[in-house]
Amino acid sequence: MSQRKYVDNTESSSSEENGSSKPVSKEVSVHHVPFKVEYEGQANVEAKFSSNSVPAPSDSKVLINQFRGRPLQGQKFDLPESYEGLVALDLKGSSQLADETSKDTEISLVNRFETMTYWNWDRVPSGMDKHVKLLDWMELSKILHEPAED
Amino acid sequence: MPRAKSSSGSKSKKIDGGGTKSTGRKSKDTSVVDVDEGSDNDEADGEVEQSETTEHLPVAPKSTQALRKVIIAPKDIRTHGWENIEECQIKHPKSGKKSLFLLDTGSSRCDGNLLFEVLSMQHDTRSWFVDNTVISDGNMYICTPVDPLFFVIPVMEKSSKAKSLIDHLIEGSLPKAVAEVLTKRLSHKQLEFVSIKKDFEDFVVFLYSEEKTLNWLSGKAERVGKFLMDKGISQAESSVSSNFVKSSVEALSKEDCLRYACDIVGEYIDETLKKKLLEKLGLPVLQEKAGTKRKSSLGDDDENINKKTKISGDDPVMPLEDYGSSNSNTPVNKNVKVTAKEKELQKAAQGSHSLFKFFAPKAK
Repeated sequence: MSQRKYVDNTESSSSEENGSSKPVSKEVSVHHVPFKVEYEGQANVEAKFSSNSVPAPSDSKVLINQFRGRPLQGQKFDLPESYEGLVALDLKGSSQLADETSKDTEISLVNRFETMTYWNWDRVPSGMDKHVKLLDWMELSKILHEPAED
Repeated sequence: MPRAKSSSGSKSKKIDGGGTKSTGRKSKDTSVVDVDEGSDNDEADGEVEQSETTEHLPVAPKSTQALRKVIIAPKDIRTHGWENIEECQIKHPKSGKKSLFLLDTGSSRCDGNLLFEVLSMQHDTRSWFVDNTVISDGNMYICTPVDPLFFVIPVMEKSSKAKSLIDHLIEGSLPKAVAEVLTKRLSHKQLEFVSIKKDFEDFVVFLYSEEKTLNWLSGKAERVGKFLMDKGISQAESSVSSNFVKSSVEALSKEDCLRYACDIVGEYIDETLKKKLLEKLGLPVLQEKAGTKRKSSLGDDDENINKKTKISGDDPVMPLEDYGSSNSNTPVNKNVKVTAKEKELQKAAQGSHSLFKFFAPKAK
């Protein structure tokens, strides 16, 4: 059982915001989409997807978009204040990189976010969606696991 | 070859292992951009500009072998430094199965959380878009703090002797790193919630105390119960459609909440201790009976059924019969007469871990 180390690379990139050209300091846009993409890596998401989100005419809290011509309904939600989202990049098995910058046991945290958009095909995300339970769980786990005081 | 699947389609099977194969035929430079739209042969073809899409990631992977995951974690961890975090496999206090936890080995802090559990929220038919990156794995990995005392209990429980904490932990076969961190950072005051401290001149030993442990667990259950009550979260929630959530909130009784709270606390202790906890809180052991009923013959169950019906009687939301879930029930013993009420109860018992079904510990 090998120990894997976490390396926080979110800070280093965002600390250069004064006068640096690195675009990472801005909050990344995060979409949780209701379909499985059998591909991992770069894609023109911004232009092809994110920029097409518009508020629904009926309810301005609901976003509408489409993917391959199919309508999607989404809702932005914030993570609880004490939590953040992170994108972890596991370089395991990527041999070209292993001998340069990192050990193969390293997990690099590359992005950070506090808001995400949850998308459904056919209905407005509601209290029954898993992500709402997730928020409940975060609060609950704090109460459950907080060390007792006296 | 369709690369995206809708959630309404069949259970996701990876076509090519998340695109790993495709790396072989790529040229070296920026060409990770075999974008999913690329396979969409109608309009998107050829429009993808590779140079534009690669500049956003600080670590630009050359291959799609790099696996990204979306993690939700307390900000606290980052403040104290992810470099102090170690992954470790610890036996889960409930199941005894090894599960993944994160240990904060940072020595500087005595406050805050030392141990985090990693729960996965399964989303088989989802993916992530993060800026200009597609992340195939649509699951969410959630790190939430765990009270380390839950790990101390089973270890101390086994020993009839008073020992120093480190001896307890090592003999209880906790990983060394975990044992060391807990020894260093758990205060005596904390430990005394579950044990009796004996102070000798040059060393301190602890002896497990069930009474104290149950008091400590009751406190937790009561706090959780209050939270569930305030938030209007009920066990029934998972088994009713969203339209009915409101009305189920009205039907929440204090006892239901406390019972649910015990189930939640019960996710971190073994069954025997959970039973004792229910007893202590004056709750008849319903869940247990509902669960074992299928195995056992009727006999003394009659009496319990009456109690059960009383409790479930004030929950108007539950469907009397649920055909949808019948196949997920284990086949019911023929000898047992299954009334609608009983079905209802079984269903209630099933739903009790709803939150945790989504958050099943990620066993490795």
